Amino acid sequence: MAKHPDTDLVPYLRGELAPAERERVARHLEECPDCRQDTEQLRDLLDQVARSIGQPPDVNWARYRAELREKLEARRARRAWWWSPVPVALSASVAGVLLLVAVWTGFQMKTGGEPFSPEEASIGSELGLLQEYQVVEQLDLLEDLDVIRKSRRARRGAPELAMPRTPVWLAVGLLGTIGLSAARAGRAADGAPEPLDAQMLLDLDLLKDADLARDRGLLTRMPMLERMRLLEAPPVLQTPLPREAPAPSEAKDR
Amino acid sequence: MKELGAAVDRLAPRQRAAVLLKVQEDMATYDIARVLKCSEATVRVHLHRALATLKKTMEKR
Repeated sequence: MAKHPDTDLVPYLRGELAPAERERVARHLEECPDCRQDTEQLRDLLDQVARSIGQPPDVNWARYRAELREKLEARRARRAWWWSPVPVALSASVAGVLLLVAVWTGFQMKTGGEPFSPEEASIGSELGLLQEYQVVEQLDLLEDLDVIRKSRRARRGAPELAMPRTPVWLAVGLLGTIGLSAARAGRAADGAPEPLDAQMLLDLDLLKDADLARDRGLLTRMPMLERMRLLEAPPVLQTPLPREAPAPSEAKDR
Repeated sequence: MKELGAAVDRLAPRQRAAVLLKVQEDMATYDIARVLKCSEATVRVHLHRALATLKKTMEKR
């Protein structure tokens, strides 16, 4: 007689086996009274287990997500202590002073006989470099700032000016940094909570596979997964959340 | 019935997970394998061992 299909019995009972496999197990069961008995006992046992563990408790999703957000914020604060308002303000001040020094040095460094135009210092601004600094940096456009400047001059027929290269580069870089800082600070200060999505949970090591979580709707089953200790190193779930029956509106929102 | 529930709670974590996902969530073995990040064969072994343990618990009563 072939090997007893012990581990195939549950999938067999649940109709999960491929046709060939199902046929093999069925044939074995016809010949093996022990396995037939085991199969019947398993069927009963599965029913009893289902009755004994019941349904997972209802969850107050609003509170669950609120706590996740709270812990997420705490974690973010630990990670980016330098991103709080005081360090940002300090670095902006230092950057401003450096900018003044840079522009002043630029005036001192010019070698041509022609007067230095303030337009030179604000060329980055004119080109929209400060607004799109990150994009410009990514596109390596800053490498070609001199070329752009020359082509603009040529189009206007204006004389070539001595370019105070280093200081102006420094100024553009600093202004870009300040602009980005201000933009991020503005976003952080508007108080709007970020949506809690699978990526955020992934960032928190809650889920190793965000796509899987979305596909299977596992995000709606997070407390259950937590209860089963399936989540690896779940930092935000170390404090058990109170289980409460959801209000009708909360039950609908997931 | 309480004893059986308690026995489920005492199972090894991955065996307990396999049983709960199968019985409570009615998930296919393939899906349980994805959740537990193991092979289907491993899930089948978890289920087999877990149910063998639970069966012994019921027999001892």
